[in-house]
This record gives sequence, structure tokens and C-alpha cells, in this order.
Amino acid sequence: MSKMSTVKKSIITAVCIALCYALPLLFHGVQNAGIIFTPMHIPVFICGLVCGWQYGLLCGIAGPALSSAMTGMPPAAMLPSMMVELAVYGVVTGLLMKVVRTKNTVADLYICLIAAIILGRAMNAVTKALIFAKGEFALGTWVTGTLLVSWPGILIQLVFIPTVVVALMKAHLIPERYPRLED
Amino acid sequence: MKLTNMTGLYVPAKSPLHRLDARAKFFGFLILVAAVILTDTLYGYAIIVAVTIALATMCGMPLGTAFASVRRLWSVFIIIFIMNAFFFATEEPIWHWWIITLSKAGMLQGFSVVFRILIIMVLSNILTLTTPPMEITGAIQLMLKPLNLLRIPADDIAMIISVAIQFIPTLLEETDTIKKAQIARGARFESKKLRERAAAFLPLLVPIFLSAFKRADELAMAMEARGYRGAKNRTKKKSVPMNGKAWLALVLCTAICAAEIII
Amino acid sequence: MPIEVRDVSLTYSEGTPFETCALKNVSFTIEDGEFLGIMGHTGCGKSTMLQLIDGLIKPTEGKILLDGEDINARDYDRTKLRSAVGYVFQYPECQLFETTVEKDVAFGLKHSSLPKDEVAERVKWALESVGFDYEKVRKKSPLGFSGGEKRRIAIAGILATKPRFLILDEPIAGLDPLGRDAFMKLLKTLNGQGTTIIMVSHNADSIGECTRRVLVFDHGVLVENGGTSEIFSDVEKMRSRHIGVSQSREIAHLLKEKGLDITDKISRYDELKDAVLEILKGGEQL
Repeated sequence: MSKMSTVKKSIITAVCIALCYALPLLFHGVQNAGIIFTPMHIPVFICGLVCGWQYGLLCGIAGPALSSAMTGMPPAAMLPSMMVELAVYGVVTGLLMKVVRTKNTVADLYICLIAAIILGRAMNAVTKALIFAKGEFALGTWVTGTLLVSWPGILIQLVFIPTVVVALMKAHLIPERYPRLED
Repeated sequence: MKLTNMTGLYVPAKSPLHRLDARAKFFGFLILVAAVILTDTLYGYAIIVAVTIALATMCGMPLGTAFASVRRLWSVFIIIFIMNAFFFATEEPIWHWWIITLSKAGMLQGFSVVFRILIIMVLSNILTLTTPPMEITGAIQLMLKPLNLLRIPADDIAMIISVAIQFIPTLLEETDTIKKAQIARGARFESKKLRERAAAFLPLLVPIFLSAFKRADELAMAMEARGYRGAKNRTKKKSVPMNGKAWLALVLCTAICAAEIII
Repeated sequence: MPIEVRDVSLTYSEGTPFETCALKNVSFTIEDGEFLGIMGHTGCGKSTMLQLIDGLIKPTEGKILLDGEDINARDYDRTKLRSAVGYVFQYPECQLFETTVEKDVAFGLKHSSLPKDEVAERVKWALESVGFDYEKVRKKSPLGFSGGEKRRIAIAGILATKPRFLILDEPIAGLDPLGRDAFMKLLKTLNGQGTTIIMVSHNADSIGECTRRVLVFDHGVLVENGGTSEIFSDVEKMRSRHIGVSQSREIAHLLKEKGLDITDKISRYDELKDAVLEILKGGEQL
């Protein structure tokens, strides 16, 4: 997906940052599904997958920061660990999309996503531990604990994000990963 | 629902905190957060609590407002406390079963973690209550300036963030319309089963991303058509220097932070 | 009374400094089988009125009754409202999301108790009535079509639920002239088959050609409610409301200004044609 201009990638990143603010508002309006649904994560993953690691990194940092400054959610105390987590999502998906090429778009997306999700959630736990509990902390337990608690959110992300990316390709809003000649 | 609440949590008023330069407030906030994280003595805690209460009274609002989001998140605090209290690896457990260890050190740890989160939350609420969002983002952009030295394109980042802010009202309106349209088409969000409830979000998510990306596409094309080649070559508005009060506030915050570290 | 709007008012952000009034004391009824037009300047409350009828927002005051039942009553069964009313939003092509056209059109039938073959039958009927070859498009992704085609697919999705009342918000905005004509023809056919149609439009021509009754809103107030040709008869008043009248009415107005004895009760092309033929038969010279 290297055919997009820098300007287009920049504006897509801007839109994803704005969605980090807008999506949580929308879904909290529907019901209190925020914790399971993690609406703020989704634009960051998509930004990383579509635009590359630099843009994913920016989205992962600026998205939650902007939302926190404007609505107070996530609360500032949660912000650093969330920013680290989302930045990891953006960077890892962006980097892996360059490397992983299985000739199948959906398979690529899954590989990048799973790696990013595991690393991101682990980094979230580590950051929280480092900020609030300096050192003498059962790190491993917290990391596995975080992963265990958030499995429904992970499942939802695995189902939704590839669907959205494929839909964007079908609508010709982003270039196809493996363009077919006959089309 | 009218989605024009672009003010965030900001409540206009005339307190000294409201009148303070946003940049001073923002950087002062960061310094105080550092103080909260760095301190770990009882005196340190006492000082920071006193400072927070003083600030909350200064912003001239009922204390409940600053604590509103704290009340909403009480369950999170309990979880954090329990995780610390029960999973803290220590030599002298009070009670032990499988991987769960209850210890005095763990409980203290839990208290201090929850305490820090609480204080930072109240501080950030004070900041957002007294400062319009646009001014906070202005301060964030200022913070990005030094990145230029590291060959990171801070100007482009600033452009992306301001475009993002401009997109917010449009996106909110569009997401709201899409939600209503899918409800009118028969989407259900009230199902009890987790799987069904999750599935109900797909009809929202896909159209929202499609329309957002379409807008991005249109804007990018319009910008390129008008010759936009990056933020570096653009002219900027000159900013006003910070006044004496603002510097005083920053010095005070730094002093508090230093005191916390020394104690 | 199939749909009755009774003294409805809507105020946004009540009790805050941002308080704004969107609708003030609106009352009207919609009969079965009607083709009703709603007109007004941008921001006059038309779309808000439609969303109120479909129960998507609640009025601050007043009631909306469907077959005599208050749709905002606590014990009201919302599924009745959902199955009776089909709502085509402005730019409905933005709602498409499924992987195939077939699935997207069938989305509204998901929660109905219809058997599978009946669902397939409905989808086929809906796609064909908006002018698609069912077999050709059913397995394709709806997202790859052009804007106009996507809109037709989205509308098929609403038609498939066979609503008694079809609400349309600016359905022809952004369509090319041919697409517009074909679409208005479809609406007329549906109306002829008994579907009640409520259409919001800026386009005075489509309102003039299709509707028999028009509501005009101005700053949240219902200012006109009457037969289309009666309301269109006062050309100056309609212009002053920034709405205007259909071309046929415009022509009749010009002819009258030129001294021709032609009736003011004209909104449609066939009415204009008849009136002019009548005059020509009478031998009057232009």
C-alpha cells in the first residue's frame, strides 16, 4: 500500500485521530460497551495498517491525548500507559505490513494484528507497573492478567479490523494490497 | 442529540486559574504529574494533596465537578487495588493460595497506586475545566517544537493535529446519522448476548470508516490540487510571549516538584 | 388516523446556554396512501420532523401517534413502528457495509420471522424494482459500485422490508437527471401500489410532479399545509421563503404575466399541458 501520497496519508492519519475522539463518544451513547469494545484502539490499528508505522505512531500518541484533553477520557492517569499501548499498535502493524507478504491480504492483516495486540497489551501492563509501582512488582502476573481480562476486546478487534480494511479496499478508498490484473 | 459540545469539559468562568496562560497551566500540570509519580513518602503525599485541594478551590467550582469522573471510575480503582494487593510478590504473605498472595506490602502498594491515579485525575480535571481544548492543543503543539531538532517533522504533525480537530464536528454528526440510519434499518444494540451485541457494531463501524476515509480522500485531493506540499513552507501566526504570572506559576510548580523529590 | 403529529415541540440542550428550538407546536396528520411532500429552507426542521416520526428522537413536548398509539409511550412495542416505517436517509449509500449486495439488502429482514426463501424473494423483488439484474449483482460487494448505484442498493434495502410508510430525506439530491426521473417513477409506482410516501426535498419540481399535499416549514414552524397546487399558486410567497415552485408552475405564472388567462392551480407538467391545450382550443392568440 505504498501508492498513497504523503498528503493523503497525513489526512487519513488526521481522520483516524479524530475518530479516536468520536468513536468512544458514539459507542458510549449506545451502551456502556467501552471496556469490552475498546473503540479508541480501532482507528489506531487501521492507521498503522494503512499508512505505515510513522503515521500509526502519531495516531497512537495523538489520538488518546486529544481525546483526553477534550473530554477527560481516558483520564490523564491512564493516558501514558494507553499512549504506549496504542503507539505500539500503530508502529508494529505498520512495520509488519511492510515485511509480511503471504499473497493473501486477510492473512497479512491477521498476522500483523495478532503480533501488535500481544505486544501492545503487554507494554500497557509494563508501563502501568513502571509508573505507579516502581520495580518491586509482579510484572509477569500483571501482563498475563491484562491479557486474560481483555480477551473479548481482542476477539472483537480481530474480527472487525480486517473487515473494515477490506471494505476500504473494495470501496477503492485505499489501494489494494495485491492488485489483480483482470480487474 | 445535538453534537456541538465542542467545549469538552471546559466551563467558562473568571477564576485566577481560568485567566492563567494555557501554556503555563499545561506545563505546570505536567510538572505536578511528575511530582505525584516521583514522591513516595507520607509528607510528599500530604503536600500534593494540599496543592490539589488548593487548586480545586482556586478554580471556583464546586469540588464535585472536579471529582465527577473519579466517581464514575470507582470500579477501575477497586480492580487496580485488588490486583496490587493480591498479586504482589513478597517474602511475608498474610495469606497465600495458588498464585494469589495477600500481603501488607501489597496492600500499601495498592493504596499508593490508587492514590496517585486519583490525584492525577483530579489535576487533569482541573486543567480541562479551566482551559478551552483549543488552547490545550496549542500548548501541545508548542511542546512538539523541539522535535524539529531530532529531524522529526513537527510542523507536519501540528498540521495533522489541527486537521484532526477540524474534522471532529463533521465526524460526530456523521457517526450520529449513521447510527440513526442503521437503527431505522433494523440494527439492534440492546441484545443481552455478548456475541450479538458485538456483531451489532459492525453496521456502524464499516460505514463510519468508509465515510471518514472518503472525506480524507476529498480533502487530500483538494489540498494537493491547490499546491500543498508540506507544512514547512507555510507562514505562521506569531504567538504572544507568556506574562509574569504565567512564569510565576511555572516556577511554583517546579518548586513543589523539587520539594517532593527532596522529601 | 395512521400517523398523527400532535402539538410537537423539540428543544435542544434545554436549560443550558446552548438552548435552541428546532420545532415549535407542530400538528398534522398523514393519511394512508398519501404522497406527502415536505419543503422548507435549510435548517428549518424538516429532517428533524422525519426523525421524530420514525422515533429516532423524542419530542420535548407533544405526541406522535401511529394507528392511535403513542410511539414514545413507555410500553409501546417499537417493532411495530420499525416494521411500519421505512426511512431512507439522505445519502443512504453511506449505510452499506455487508460483503455482498444480497446480504446488505436483507439486513433489515434479519430480525423478522420470515422464512429464508421469502427473504430471498423480497431481496430479488427489491433489487429488481430499483432496476438491477438480481442474478448479476447479488454476490458482488456493494462497496464497489458507483454512487448512484449504491444509493439504489441502499434504497432496495429499505424497500425489502415492505414498509407501509416510506420516508425519504432528499432522495434525489446528487442524482443525474435520468436517475432522478427513474427514481421518481419508482416512487409513483410504489405509491400506486398503496405505500404511503413522505418525501423531503429541496427540488420543487419533484415535489410538484409527485405530491398531492405539501407541508412547508419555516424556522421550526409549520407555516403551510395544503394541496400542492394550492400552495404553489402563490408564487411570490414561495419565492420569499427561498423555496420556489415547480417549472410547470413557473411557466404558467409567466404566461399569466404575459396576459394569458391561465389558472393558478398548476403544479405538474400534465396540468400545465392540459391548461395550455384548453386555451389553444379556445382559439386565443399568444
